[in-house]
Amino acid sequence: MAEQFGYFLSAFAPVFGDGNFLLIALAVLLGLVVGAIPGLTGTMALALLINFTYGLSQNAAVGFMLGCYVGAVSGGLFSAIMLNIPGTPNAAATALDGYPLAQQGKGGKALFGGVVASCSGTIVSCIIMMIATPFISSIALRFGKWELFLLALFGIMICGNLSVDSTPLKGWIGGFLGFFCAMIGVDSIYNGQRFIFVDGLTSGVTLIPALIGMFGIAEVLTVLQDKTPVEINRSMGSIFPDKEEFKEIMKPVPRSTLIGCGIGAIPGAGEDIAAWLSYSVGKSSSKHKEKFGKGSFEGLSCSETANNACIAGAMIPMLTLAIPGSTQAAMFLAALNLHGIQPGPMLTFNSPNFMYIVGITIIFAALVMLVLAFVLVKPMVFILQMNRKILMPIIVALTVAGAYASRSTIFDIKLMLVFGLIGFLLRKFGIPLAPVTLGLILGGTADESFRMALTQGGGSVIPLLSRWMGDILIVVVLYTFISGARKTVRETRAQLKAGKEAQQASE
Amino acid sequence: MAAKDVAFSIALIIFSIYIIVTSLGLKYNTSFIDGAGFFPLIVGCVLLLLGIVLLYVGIRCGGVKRLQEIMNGSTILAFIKSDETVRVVVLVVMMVIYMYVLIGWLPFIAATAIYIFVNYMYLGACKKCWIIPGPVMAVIISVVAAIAIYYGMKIGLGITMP
Repeated sequence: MAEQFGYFLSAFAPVFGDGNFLLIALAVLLGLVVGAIPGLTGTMALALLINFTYGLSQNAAVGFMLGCYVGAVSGGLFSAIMLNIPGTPNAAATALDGYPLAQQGKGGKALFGGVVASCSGTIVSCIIMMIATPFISSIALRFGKWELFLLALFGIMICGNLSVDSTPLKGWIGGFLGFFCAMIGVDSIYNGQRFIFVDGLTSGVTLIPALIGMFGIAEVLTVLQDKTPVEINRSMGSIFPDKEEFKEIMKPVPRSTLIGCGIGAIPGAGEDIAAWLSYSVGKSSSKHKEKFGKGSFEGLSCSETANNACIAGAMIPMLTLAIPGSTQAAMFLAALNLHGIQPGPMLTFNSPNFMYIVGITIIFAALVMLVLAFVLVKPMVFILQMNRKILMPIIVALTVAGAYASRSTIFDIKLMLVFGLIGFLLRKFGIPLAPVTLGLILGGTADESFRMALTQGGGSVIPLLSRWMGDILIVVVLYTFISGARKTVRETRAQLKAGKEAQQASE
Repeated sequence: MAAKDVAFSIALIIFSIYIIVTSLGLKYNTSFIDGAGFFPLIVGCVLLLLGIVLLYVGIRCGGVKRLQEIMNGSTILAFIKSDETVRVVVLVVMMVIYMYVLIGWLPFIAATAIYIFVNYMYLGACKKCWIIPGPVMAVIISVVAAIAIYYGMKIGLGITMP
């Protein structure tokens, strides 16, 4: 315990030293602005802003990315409340109550409430993360290759199950397509070549250009195909809520923080699921259910607390098992790899204070976000009016710079465009991108771990079944598969029923 | 969505068969189990299975019937001519020209300024501002943005630029 406290204290210098705190503040500002603009998701913000970390030191890069992460997740609430267009998918539940509040002339209060809830959720979940991570790390250290494979499999199974606006079946397809993309190139054990379609793919699919493409180019195409202009409600009213309204805002914070942190810790689940689940739980347990969806501060707080609590939650599996809890965490993981930091069970040995650096940075970023959001409440209205047609081509140029910077090859720019088009098409066919990303990240680990585990088992899985941790994971994977399959069957039946009813109605 | 599911699942089944066939043909040292093709083979089999399930679900939900309705000359022509399709195709073509032709052939600033300007003109993004006409605004923003990105990245952040 004393040892951990020592690591905690030693984490302050890297966060605040060398002017890093100013960089974090700048990153939060950038994240808030990018996250607020409709069409620019948090993941896209991180994909674009990863460019800025190439020339930074390790500590500065970590601070910058986390600052962007916190800012981008929170920024979505501005457009959700003022435009009824969630700046990021995780702010979709926020729009349900935020926009009606803005229409009632309480836009300022709604923004205040959302920002306070976001900040509270982030800070409390960070404390939970700093307590939980060492325990989970100690368990993760006992994992062998078999368990690592099962964990990767569990990651894409659960991510597929929880994908919003899609069936588990399509989520799993996305996950395994991601696995396939990770197989491209020379294999890590015997250097055997596989699926090298063009020369540049010998070393495999480079993660950062692929992610920038899927979340940058695909997003630009999605936004620009739509002609709909944006209407903004300019009247905001007072910013500070009264005592009763403030109570409503703070009431769901503890419960929503736990939900957000818990969902964040599930691989690939992400902020949007946390926000919707917290909103739904909040609505069913509230004394004022009738206000939900019509302008409830409680409803607004439920979604905003949970989506921000997810940030720290997503860090738990990422730091301990190198499995990102959300697509934004996947971007952060890519940035860490870029700067030579390898998250996973050994992180607690190699950099024992790193988890505290992450925790303190997130808490500081949340406090900066609180201050900046108040300052930006009024100017943000003008930022939201920015013409997206002017912004998007500039973003394409930024994605080009970002893709090229990772290895300084033109091939990576072309690869990014290909993945952008793949991402756009997959979206059109209803395949969620989060499991694809997770598959791409975990595919290499799954392949190597599975084959090495089989070698350990003499070519059979039977000897591996005597490992109790592996057995628990097998049960969890099977349960995830069965629940996903049942959900798919249920949704298909509902779809069939709706189709028949529509047919009968037309007859 | 059922029609899309059927179309996607057919493509997925063909692709997964390709993965399986290619995996089986990959070289290995001691045994196939620890060879480079073993895990892709499993991934291919799983994708094939998932593709078949998706196809079944799509067919049950009336996807084939819907697909037959869609797959006629007039509907396809309407889809190709729709604003949304045309816009996406033009934007993609512009991206391909920018990333596959202009970058590497022209200096980054010139390539980017041309790309942004052409996009603005196509999207009608720049309106008349004060006395400056829209196209002139588009040229100004394109050039300023390209220069800002290049020098901001290269000098400000020390990033290698194309």
